[in-house]
Amino acid sequence: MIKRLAVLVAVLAMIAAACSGSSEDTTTTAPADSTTAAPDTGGGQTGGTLAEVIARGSLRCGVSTNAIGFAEPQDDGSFNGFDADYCRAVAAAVFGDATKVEFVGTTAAERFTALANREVDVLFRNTTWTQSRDTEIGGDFGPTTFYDGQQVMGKASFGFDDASTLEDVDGAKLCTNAGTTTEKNITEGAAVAGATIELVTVEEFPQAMEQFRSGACDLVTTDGSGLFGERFAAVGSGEIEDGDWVIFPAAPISKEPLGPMYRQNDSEWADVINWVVYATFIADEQDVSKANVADAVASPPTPELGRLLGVGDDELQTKMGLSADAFANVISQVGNYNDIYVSNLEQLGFVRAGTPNDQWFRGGLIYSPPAR
Amino acid sequence: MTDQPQGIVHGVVEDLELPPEPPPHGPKIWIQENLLGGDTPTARVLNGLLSVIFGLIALNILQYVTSYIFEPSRRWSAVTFNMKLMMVQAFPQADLFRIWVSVGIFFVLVSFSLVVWGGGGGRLSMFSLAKGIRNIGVLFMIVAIMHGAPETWNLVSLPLFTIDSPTAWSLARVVFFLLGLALFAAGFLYLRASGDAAKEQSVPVLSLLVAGMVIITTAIWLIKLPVPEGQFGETTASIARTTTGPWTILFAVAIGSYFLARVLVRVFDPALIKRILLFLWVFSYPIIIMVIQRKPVLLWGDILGGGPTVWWESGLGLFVLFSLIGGAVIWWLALSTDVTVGRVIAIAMGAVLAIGTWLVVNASNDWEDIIRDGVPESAALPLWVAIVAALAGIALIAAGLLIPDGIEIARVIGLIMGVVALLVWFVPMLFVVRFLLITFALTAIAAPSFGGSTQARVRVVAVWIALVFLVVVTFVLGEAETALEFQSTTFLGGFNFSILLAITGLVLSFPLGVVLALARTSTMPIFRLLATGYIELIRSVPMITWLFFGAVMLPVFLPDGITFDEIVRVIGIVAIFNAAYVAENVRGGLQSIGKGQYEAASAMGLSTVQSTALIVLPQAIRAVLPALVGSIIVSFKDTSLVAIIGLADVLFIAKSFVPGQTSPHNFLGTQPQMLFFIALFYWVFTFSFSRMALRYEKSIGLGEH
Repeated sequence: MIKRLAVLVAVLAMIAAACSGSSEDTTTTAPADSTTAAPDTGGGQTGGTLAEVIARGSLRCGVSTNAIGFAEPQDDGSFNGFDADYCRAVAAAVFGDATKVEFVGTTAAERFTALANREVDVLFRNTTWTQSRDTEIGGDFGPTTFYDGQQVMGKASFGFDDASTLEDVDGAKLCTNAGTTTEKNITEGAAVAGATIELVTVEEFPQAMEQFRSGACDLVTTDGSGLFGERFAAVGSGEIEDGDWVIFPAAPISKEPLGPMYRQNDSEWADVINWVVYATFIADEQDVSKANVADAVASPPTPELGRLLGVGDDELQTKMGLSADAFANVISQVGNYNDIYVSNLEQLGFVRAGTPNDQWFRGGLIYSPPAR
Repeated sequence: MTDQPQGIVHGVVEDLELPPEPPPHGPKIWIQENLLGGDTPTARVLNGLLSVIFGLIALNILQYVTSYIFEPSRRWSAVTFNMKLMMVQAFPQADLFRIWVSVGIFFVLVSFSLVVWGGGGGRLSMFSLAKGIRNIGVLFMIVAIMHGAPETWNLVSLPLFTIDSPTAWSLARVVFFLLGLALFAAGFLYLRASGDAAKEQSVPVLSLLVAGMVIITTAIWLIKLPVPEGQFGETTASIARTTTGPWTILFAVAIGSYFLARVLVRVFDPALIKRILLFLWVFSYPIIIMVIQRKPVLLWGDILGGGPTVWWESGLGLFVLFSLIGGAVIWWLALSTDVTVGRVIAIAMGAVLAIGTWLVVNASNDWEDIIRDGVPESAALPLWVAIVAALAGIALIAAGLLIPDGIEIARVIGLIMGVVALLVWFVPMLFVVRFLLITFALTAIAAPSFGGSTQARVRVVAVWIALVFLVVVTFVLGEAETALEFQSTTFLGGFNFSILLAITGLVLSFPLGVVLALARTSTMPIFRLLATGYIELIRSVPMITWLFFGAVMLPVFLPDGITFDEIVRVIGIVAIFNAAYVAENVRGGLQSIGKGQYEAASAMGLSTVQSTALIVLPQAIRAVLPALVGSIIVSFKDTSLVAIIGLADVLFIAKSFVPGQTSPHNFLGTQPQMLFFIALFYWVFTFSFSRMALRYEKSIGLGEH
């Protein structure tokens, strides 16, 4: 009974964490191994997610229900986008078939409980890696797949340009959605920059965009990925000319590293997720893409790639519980990091070069431990 | 609008000696009655002013709505392109015929029911029909004139009633206007020509329904709707054959089965057809969901026994075991006069309970360990459950030995079975066995009240066997894997899921609500207290809170090893919530039934249960039918609340899925249109349902004094 109460408290903590984004007051940690909602199959308690997934024959992947470029619902019930492609990549590694994914659209409020209740195996749901989420709510984070950050968008007709900073917005009216960390970040950021802003908060971000369109606010702010998507759609539909809306440079208003999240204390499953992501990084680093992976498998350019693609005898995938060609399947069926990035995000106007999402030797942060 | 005919112009009737029928009519009278009103000239002027102001406001609203709809940049193609997504979400294209077959079954059943019960659905007077056509024509013309988006329109500058034409008179607009004119002219001229005779003549509602189907069928083949072109473009195209074809066939099937039913009613006994139809209505729904739409993979080894499954755990084994042993007990309970049989049954059941519990506990525990460390968490049976079960078993044996009256023994058996039904939740066992035991307990409690004659006994046992069959089949089908291939967790989604929630919630909540209402009006304090507590607890917490509870917190509360799918949890919550409201409605009906009904029933020799079930309840439910219909409509609309907990019902898809698509077609920013469409969609359903309910209430004479 006490165990069950502890879980109940933990679930409440998760809801609070999911809603507020920062719940410093919660002290109870969620022991993942006491989750009572254990399914009949698989290991049941802690760990065993890999065995559970293999027994089920498909991956249950938690994604956002609408995140432009990251998870967009399609009319066959599947999802397209950057996050959705990483779900496919995991399925390709585990099953050798990128289509064996059951996408579970989760809302921001219920994503963590869905993970804890074992309704999803992994979250690829533009979830920011924060200390409180890592420690308090019973999840662990994998390598960051996309470095996002809060940005500000203004209209060129008001004298803003691509180089504007928070110092330039003194006295401006700024729209954002209420109750998120976005609101807190911008207030703190403006105070640091010494600018006075008038904050207009609305319930949801689309409403903030409506206010921005109608001229009720001069500026609008959210994560950069959201702003780029909105601007892309407005340009595409002919609503504005290219360059009418300008997005300020990625000033350090906030850091939003987005990546996979899985239940804590399940190293076997964590290794699978992490190394699927790293495999896409390494392939990108060594110019092995969806287009030329067949050649690379036939004659690996480097010993590291030989191991990663499962060609050499010293491959390490079978030790992880996967097949030797698991990562070769990932690259050939889904692609390397660059393939995934370009096909989903670059068409929306997210340029990769020069951002933290570039390769490490070009000044970015996309870096992987070596495969050996 | 008044109910008096307005088309006939012959001025004010001067001769007051004539009988007052028909009342005077004409444009002047109409204006006086509808726009001016009042008795004094001042009142007439003021009322006339108010009529003009509110008329202009109404026109303005209409203009705003039409200009919103017809604004060229509105991208209604988001609706047309995602229609399948909104209706059935992830259902695979190749298996889409399963959905059409489901709709077809529904259409056929409706057609048959209209013949068997509706007696043709009643008639509509030509007068109201012509009036309706005329008014629709006027509406069409106003919309055609006003459509377009006047740039200057906004509430502040109030340019009331600006009929301007920002877009040219396109062909479609002209056709629309002429259509309205034609409708108006037809209705107006008919009313004028036939005069009061229009009130005498009438057409069957069904023929109107058929005419409507024909018009819709023709329209979907001819009409062109906006479709997306490229990522941002939009063009118009005819509706795809894959949509028009099935609908045409469905309408043809509906009309065909109507005439087939008319023939069948003449050939066979209508009472028999009624009974078969009732059976089909009850069973068509689970079959549609579980078999037709789910496409289960049946494992015959599990169903018939053999292979790895022990035979008594297979579907067939469970069915045979429970219907034979349970059937024998129920057979006796339904006419519990033979004391000897009662003793045997009570002692046998008590022995099974007590000894069975002992064996299970003994096999899984070392008693010395328990005495030293307490009960381990891995125990097959919680200790308190074992103790209660053993005591219940001993009580049954004692009752069998001591009580000299068969009916009293039957009561004790019913009581103990109720306790057992509660206990099974805490004992790990096959889920289907849990449900069978609960079903048995309920049937055992009800059996003495509905038994009596041999015929009644047979009926009770037949009901029991049917229930066992239903439970076993539901579990066999529910546990089977689906053969559908799609990239989502469930085959249910979109409007299909909304319907499932509404119907299943209704079917489950109705019996529960009736039981709660009876309990709340019961003379026994414990039942009254429990029912009141339940109803007040459920009703005083918002539904969305209960939904969050079911979606997020229920998994934590359930005993170890018991898990439900999120959809099942939400259906349960919907049923539990609606039951409280049904209970309050039914209670209102129960209170309206006089005490004399009970007394008369008991004078006839009916027991309390019989008089309640057969005399009082039917009258009570009939009395509160309008309120029940109201709560059904509310619960249908309330299913859209599941969108908030992220389940993909039709609202969630429209609100969240569609406005998130950027490729292949970009629908960002279409959220207002999608919500507009969903509002219209729900309105069509709830409005037609409430109209149908109104007709039904009138046909059974409710609301007339």
